[in-house]
Amino acid sequence: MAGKGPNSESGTIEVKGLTKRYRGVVAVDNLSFTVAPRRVTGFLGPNGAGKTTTLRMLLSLAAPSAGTATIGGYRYEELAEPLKTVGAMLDESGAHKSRTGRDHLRVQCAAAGLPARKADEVLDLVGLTPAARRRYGEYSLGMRQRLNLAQALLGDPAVLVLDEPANGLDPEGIAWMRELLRNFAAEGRTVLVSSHLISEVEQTADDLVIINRGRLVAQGATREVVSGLSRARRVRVRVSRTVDLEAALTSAGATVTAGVPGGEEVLLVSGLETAAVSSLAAAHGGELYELAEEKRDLEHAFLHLTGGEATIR
Amino acid sequence: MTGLIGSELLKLRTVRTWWTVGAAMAGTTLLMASWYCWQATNFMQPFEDYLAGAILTPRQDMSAEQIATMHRLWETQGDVGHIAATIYTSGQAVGLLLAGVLAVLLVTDEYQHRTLTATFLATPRRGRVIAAKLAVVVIASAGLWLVSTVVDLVVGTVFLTSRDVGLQLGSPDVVSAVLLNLAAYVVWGVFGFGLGVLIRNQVIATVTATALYFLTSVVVAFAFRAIHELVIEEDWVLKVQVIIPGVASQIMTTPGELFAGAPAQWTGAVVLVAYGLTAGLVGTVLLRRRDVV
Repeated sequence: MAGKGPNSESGTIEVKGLTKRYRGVVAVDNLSFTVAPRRVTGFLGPNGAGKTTTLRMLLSLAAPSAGTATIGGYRYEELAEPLKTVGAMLDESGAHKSRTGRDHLRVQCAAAGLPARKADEVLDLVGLTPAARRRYGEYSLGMRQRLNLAQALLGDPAVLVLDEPANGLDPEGIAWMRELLRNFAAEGRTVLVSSHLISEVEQTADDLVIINRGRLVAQGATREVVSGLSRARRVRVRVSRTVDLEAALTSAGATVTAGVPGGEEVLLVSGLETAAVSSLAAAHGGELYELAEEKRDLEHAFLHLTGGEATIR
Repeated sequence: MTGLIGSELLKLRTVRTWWTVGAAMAGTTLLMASWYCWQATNFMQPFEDYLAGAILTPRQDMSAEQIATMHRLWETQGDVGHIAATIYTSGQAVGLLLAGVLAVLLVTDEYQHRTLTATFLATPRRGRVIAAKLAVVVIASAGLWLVSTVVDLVVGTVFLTSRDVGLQLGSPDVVSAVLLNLAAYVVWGVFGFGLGVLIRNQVIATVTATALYFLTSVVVAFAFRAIHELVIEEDWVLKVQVIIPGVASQIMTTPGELFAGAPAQWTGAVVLVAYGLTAGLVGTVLLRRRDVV
C-alpha cells in the first residue's frame, strides 16, 4: 500500500467512537467522522475543542481511551512505512536548536529509509533552501512552520494531516499553503487540516468536520455546512408602514424583532429568504427605505454553533 | 533497524554536543597522560635517586623495613608494562563520566528539544527507537574511548621512545588494560543511557549521573564499615558496597582488590550494566505507554 502512490482505500481516514480522558477531563468524546481522499477536509473547532488531541491519537502519539482512528484501515503504528503513507505537521513538533533544518530532515530520511536528497527536494518545495544550512534555533516562527511542512512532505505521502498550519505564516504564506493543499487534493491525496478559524478554511476545504468540547457538531460538504450556518442570517428592513409589514411577515412564518435605531423603526427578520421579505415589503410596507441582509458572518455563525466558545480574531 | 541506527548516529553527528564532548575528551586525556608521564619519570630512575627524590628523611634514618616498602613500590610502579598500561588508559577518570553524560544527553535531547514527535512519526514503534539509541550509545562510548586512546598512544609513543623502553604494545597486560578501558567506557555509556531513559529530564539525569560517579568508595566505605563493625559482622557486608555505582566503577577499573575483601573486577561491570539495562527497560515500558507531549 505504501509507496505506490495515492489510492482511495489507503487514503481514507476513519475515526470511530474516539475518546480521550485525562484524569476526569474528557478531551475527546465519542468522536466519529470520515475523511475522504481527493478532498481537502477542514477540521474545525475553538481552541481546546480537542482537535490536536484527535490528530495525535490518529498519529499514534497519544493512546485513545476508547475507539479507533485509522488510515486506510490501519492504525498509524501499524503502517509499514509511515512517512510514505502519512505526512503530519504538528504544532508541538520541534527540532534540535543546534541542528540545521536540512540535517533535521536528513535524520528523518534515514529513519524512514528515504534517500537523503529528499530533504533538499522538500526544502526547495517549501522555499526554505536559502536557510537549509542554518541552525533551527535561528529560525523564525514562519520558517519553523515551513520546515514542519517540509517534514510532512518528505515521504511524498498519500495523506496529509496538518494541525493549524497557518499559525505563524504571513498572508502570502497562507495563500501559498492553500494552493499547495488544493493541489495535493487534486492529485488524489487526502488532506485533513485543522483550524480554529472558519474563515481560514472556508475557501479551501471541500468538507468540514466541526467539533466542540470533544464532540462532533457538524460534518459534511463545506457548502452545505456553511449554508446551514447562514440560515440563521437576518434581513433588516425599514418601511413607512411598519405595523402592516410586521403582521404580514409574522403570518408568513418569519420571526420579527423591532428596534428603534435613530428614531426610526427597523424590523429584523429571520426565517425568511431575502427575496420573500422584499416582495412582502413591496406589497404591505408602503414606501421602502431600506432592505439589507444583515452581515452575520460565518465567524458569528460558527461562534453560535460552538456555543459561543470560538475565538474571534 | 540499520536505517534507524544510521538516523540516531546522524543525530549525534549533527549537533555540537558530540564535538564538544569529543574535544573535552581529547584535551583532558592529553593533560592527564602528560601529567602521568612526568610522574612516571620518578619511578624510572635508579632506586637510590628515586628514594632521594621521594623522601625527605635522610637515608641513614630510615629502617630497613621502610626501605623495603619503598623498593616494592618503586618496582611495581616503575615496571614498564605498568607505566605503558597507565599511559594508554589515561583520561579514564574523566572519560567514563563523559561517556555516561554523553549517553544521558543523547537520550534526553529528544525531550529537551521536543523532537520525540518527529522521531515517533518516522518510527512509531518506540521500543525500536530506544534500541537504536542503545546501539548508538555503545558506538559513541567506544568513540570516546578511541579519541582518548589515540591521544594516549601519541603521548605514550613520544614518552616511551624518549626513554628508550619500547612501546610495550605486544604485552598482554597492556592490551588487556586497553580493552578493559574500552569495556569501562561502554559500561558507563549503558549506565547513562538507562538513567536518561528513566529520568527524561536532561538536567536531573546529568546531575544524577555525575553524583553517582563521584559517590565512590571514599565516600561510602565509612558507612559500610560502620555497618560491618556495629550491626552485621559478616564479610559480605563489605562486598555489598559494589551495589553503589561509583564503587562498582572503581572495582571494575582497579586491577586487584580495591579494598580488602572486595569482589572481583567483573562484578563491578555487571552491576553497572544491570543498572543501565534495568533502568532503560523500565523507562522504555513507561515510554511506550505514555502520550508524547
